Amino acid sequence: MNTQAEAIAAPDATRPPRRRLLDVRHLTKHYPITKGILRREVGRVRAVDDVSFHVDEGETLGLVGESGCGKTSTGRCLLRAIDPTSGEILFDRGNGEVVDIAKVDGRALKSLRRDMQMVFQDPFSSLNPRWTLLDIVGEPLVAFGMKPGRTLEERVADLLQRVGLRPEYMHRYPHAFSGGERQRIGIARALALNPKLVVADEPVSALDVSVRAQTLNLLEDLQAELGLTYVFISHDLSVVQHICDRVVVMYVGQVVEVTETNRLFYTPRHPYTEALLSAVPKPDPDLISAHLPLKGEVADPSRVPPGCAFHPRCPYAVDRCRTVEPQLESLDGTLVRCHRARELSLRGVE
Amino acid sequence: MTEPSSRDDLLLEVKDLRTGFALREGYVKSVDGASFNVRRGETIGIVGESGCGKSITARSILRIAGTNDDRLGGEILYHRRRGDGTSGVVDLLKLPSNGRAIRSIRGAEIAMIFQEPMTAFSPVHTIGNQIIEAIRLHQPLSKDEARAVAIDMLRRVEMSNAESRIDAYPHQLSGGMRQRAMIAMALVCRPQLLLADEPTTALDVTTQAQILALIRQLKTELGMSVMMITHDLGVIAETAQHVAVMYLGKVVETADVRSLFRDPRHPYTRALLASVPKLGRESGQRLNPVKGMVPSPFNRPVGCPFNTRCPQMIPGVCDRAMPAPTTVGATHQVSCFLYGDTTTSEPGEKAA
Repeated sequence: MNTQAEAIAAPDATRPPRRRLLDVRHLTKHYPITKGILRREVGRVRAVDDVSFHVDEGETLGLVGESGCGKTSTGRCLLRAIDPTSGEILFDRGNGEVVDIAKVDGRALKSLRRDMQMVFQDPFSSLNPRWTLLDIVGEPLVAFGMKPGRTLEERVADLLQRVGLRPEYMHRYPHAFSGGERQRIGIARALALNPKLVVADEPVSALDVSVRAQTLNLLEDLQAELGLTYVFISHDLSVVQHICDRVVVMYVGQVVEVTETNRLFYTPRHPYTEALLSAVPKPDPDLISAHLPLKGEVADPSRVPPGCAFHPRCPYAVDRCRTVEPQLESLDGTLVRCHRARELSLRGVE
Repeated sequence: MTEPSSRDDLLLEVKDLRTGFALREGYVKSVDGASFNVRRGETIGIVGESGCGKSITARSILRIAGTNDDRLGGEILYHRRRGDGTSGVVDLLKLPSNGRAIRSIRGAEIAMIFQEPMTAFSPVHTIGNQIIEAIRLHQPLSKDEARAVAIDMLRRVEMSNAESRIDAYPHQLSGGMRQRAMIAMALVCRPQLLLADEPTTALDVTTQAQILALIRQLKTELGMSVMMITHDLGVIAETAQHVAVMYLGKVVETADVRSLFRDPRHPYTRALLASVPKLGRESGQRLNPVKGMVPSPFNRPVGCPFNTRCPQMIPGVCDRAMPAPTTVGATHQVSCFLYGDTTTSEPGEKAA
């Protein structure tokens, strides 16, 4: 654990120092598996298992991995939408006050919610069909004490305009809008309280190609304009490379690699990252993609393999990988959890 | 039946397909004059955004869409080769949608796989029983023989423990395994044509790579044609030899895959390619998406369907008539007024 904490604390040489907005330390979320009428615990799903990373103010941090790797659970823990089992989530509120999101409760937690918001994947199920846009986008404002009336409507109109929707639409219901427009409504709602941190969980996965590009541009513009910090959860690596400054790669609840985006894509250090990169279909018929066929499926997080969790699928696994669990270590500015990271020379994108 | 030798390799010709739905709000044209060919042993990619009519086109081939549509028009010519060596051309649109003729083709000679295998399988039957049913519908085999065929097919789609997994219910399998089971069910009668409707959209990238590799490999082994319907240009580039780009129910460009990516002609194709974030050196550049969004099908633009969003729209031309397909390369056709040919077809009028 020592190497891990030190490496995380080490300043990144290539970029100017930024204020650290979020510092996640040893975050763990286990779901118990219960059986029988006594709800006896027979096992645990290790959805998030000792995850540490940090998020600097104004940056976009990507969380990537396959389904079931714990990226969504991690994102929800950051907002305390679910309660973590253990670990710390230190959030710098800007006035010198650092709070541990994992520990606060009640009134303190509610006041924190002003600073952190979420954008969801599915723009259909994340908006109440019986509410107008004014109700939806205005709800966070009302929850924090704004009275319904002119000021509220003006603020909602301003938010709608900001995400590229016409303010006249505020008395309409979500069904009148397309998927891309609904996602803009969700973004407007997230921005209503001027948050510092926005956790976006697969915000463009449900959108069509052209609308996806519009939404990505909107997210970038809003970040530049409002100084937002994004935690961007996605399984789509081309989107991640496009929008993220740094990336955390997760596999079965654990962080396997953390580094700057370009370093991750051109010089991956973990065999899982290499396999993920090679699996992305490239929109270019001349790139005869030499896929590294990754065999098998993601390990079951309730029965994590011994040693390195990735070893059953790893083409480079040796005996040590099957027995000894690797720790996160720093290597040329990358944090990587692999015994053979130093000796392997892995292939990134062209 | 004698045919010109150049057409020998044709498997399916879709000609000016028109179909839609009669709704309370009016008639919605979902496919509005789509034409393309599928050759034997080839993968054709159909690419377009939601609502462009790509899925309805595939379902029209199987006659499971547009069955109550009195405005159904065009032809889908299926060049059929039977086991006994006879061959012929059938217009699938002329067959009654639940008649014996189409039922002998559907599932046996032309099969389909769907995006979400959880909803495509029945949740109350084992995958084995569903595959066995598909076999026994088309082949005179006993239950035990059919079960052996099903296990063999499950092995070919690389399902581990096929002997025991055959008795699994769909919910007991992971997404990737379910998709493999569906591929096994579709291929068990060795179809001439596989219609794959977004087969990997619901899967993780690593599973997607496995499934695409599997489809490629089985296509070669069984010598079938594949129609790959997707919105993902990466999947198209990796699997297809020929591509048709659809927009609002029309095929706006068809080309071999290399010409389409190297030399896209239609402004919509260009816009689509510019909207995709690229993995690699060019990443991080600002994306240049198509402005606006796909118009409502109730409110179709007059003339070229893309004219409301097109950066190169010619006023007075593009909003008057639909451009006819123009040949711009050996295997490259585009329907756009920017490319010389001024012959036009009025909307609703049959294209030349």
